[in-house]
Amino acid sequence: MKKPLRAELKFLISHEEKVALLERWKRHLVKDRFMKHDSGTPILSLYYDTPDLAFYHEKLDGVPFRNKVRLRTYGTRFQPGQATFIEIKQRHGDYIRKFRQKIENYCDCHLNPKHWSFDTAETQCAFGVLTERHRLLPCVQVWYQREVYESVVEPGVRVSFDSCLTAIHPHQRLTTDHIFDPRTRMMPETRVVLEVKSNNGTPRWAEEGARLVELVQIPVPKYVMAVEKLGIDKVPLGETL
Amino acid sequence: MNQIDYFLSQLFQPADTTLFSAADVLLSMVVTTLLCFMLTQVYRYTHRGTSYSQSFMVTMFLMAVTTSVVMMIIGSNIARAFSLVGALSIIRFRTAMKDPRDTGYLFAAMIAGMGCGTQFYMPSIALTLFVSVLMLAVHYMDYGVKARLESILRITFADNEGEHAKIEQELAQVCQNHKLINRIREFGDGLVTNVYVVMPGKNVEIAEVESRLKNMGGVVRLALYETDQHAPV
Repeated sequence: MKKPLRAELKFLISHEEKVALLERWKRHLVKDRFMKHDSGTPILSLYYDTPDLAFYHEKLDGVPFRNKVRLRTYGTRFQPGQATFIEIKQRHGDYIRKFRQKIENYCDCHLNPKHWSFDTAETQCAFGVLTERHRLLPCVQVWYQREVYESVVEPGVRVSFDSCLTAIHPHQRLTTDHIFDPRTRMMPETRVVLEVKSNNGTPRWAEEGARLVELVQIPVPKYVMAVEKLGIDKVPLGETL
Repeated sequence: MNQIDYFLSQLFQPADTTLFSAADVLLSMVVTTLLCFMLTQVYRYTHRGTSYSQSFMVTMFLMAVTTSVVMMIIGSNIARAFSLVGALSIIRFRTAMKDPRDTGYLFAAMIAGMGCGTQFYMPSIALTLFVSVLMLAVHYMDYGVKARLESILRITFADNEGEHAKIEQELAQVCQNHKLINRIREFGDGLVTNVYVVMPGKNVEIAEVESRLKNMGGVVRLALYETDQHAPV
């Protein structure tokens, strides 16, 4: 079955606005059962791009159909024994589609796209098109903590709050110092990225809440922000490796 | 000679001389400044959170004084009112402004231009002179600087509930209020970092908060810093 297209709204909000929204939405949301701690789940993504940063420039140019390729784990580093996934996030105009492949028995060799393998024809095709057409190189790592809530009634509606967004180079190991270092921290500590994702349109209560707190939808592209934070856009990617 | 007289009469008499005089314009701006002074004081006193910006305080003067003059220029003229709506949409929707003060200056410049374009030379000149003096005054007085600001506290300690409770207890003693905004663990070193927004108590220096927390057993690292009120919101 083809993956559904999902709508995704993003807002950059303050901690106070987060508290107000959670209070307002408490009847509609429950905490996601996979959330590791009360503080949220740590997420580490390693983004891939071409040597001339084609995916980065596609985003800047507003190309309506574009891709992002990443390796994702739920921790502070990629390591054997920890669930790791290869993902493509495709944008189709205003909608998002995600392809995901779990890596069985992760090892460091999986950082190289040549070692990726896929279970289904659909993921094989989605990833194959990109890996055949482009020379993908690890570009930047982005880490953050995600607090996720699910809708009580509407299936597929997820509300998440991302904090502590941090950018590091592909082969660096994340430490707490990176999270608070102004050179790697992607936004102030008091700010949070709110994302509302849904399959069949944004629920009315979510729209009303956002309107009442006077939120303005703004692009918060984590990959693009990370590339610019580390100045990776200034040097061709091949030269940084 | 006649030409000079004509220019001078154009400069100091509005297009519709029955509407207002130079004294009216000046009075309007002075009263606005006084009212704005009161508003900014209330804003500064009641502001909560870490987003306090001196720039925003200064912008309130700029916007208020400029608006008082623009209302005189518009008067009851519908065409001017519509043109103002169009002009303002340029500021908000077409231009990305990082500092609210920039928006205020742009607004003032546009109103000066609007006044000149509708032959209201006198109010435009008065606005420009008054705003320039006012902005220089608030700049040199460093107006809007807040003596006590909420600070961000980052504290790293051994990951156990007893330690967390002790820190909360200590913060309750030395701070007027404190809010936990982030908690970071998962680095495999058995440590957890809490990030708080704190407002030290009335007679408590920030250095005292720092030293009392540092002296607690179990605290590994601590950083306490004030938010930058000179930065744009």
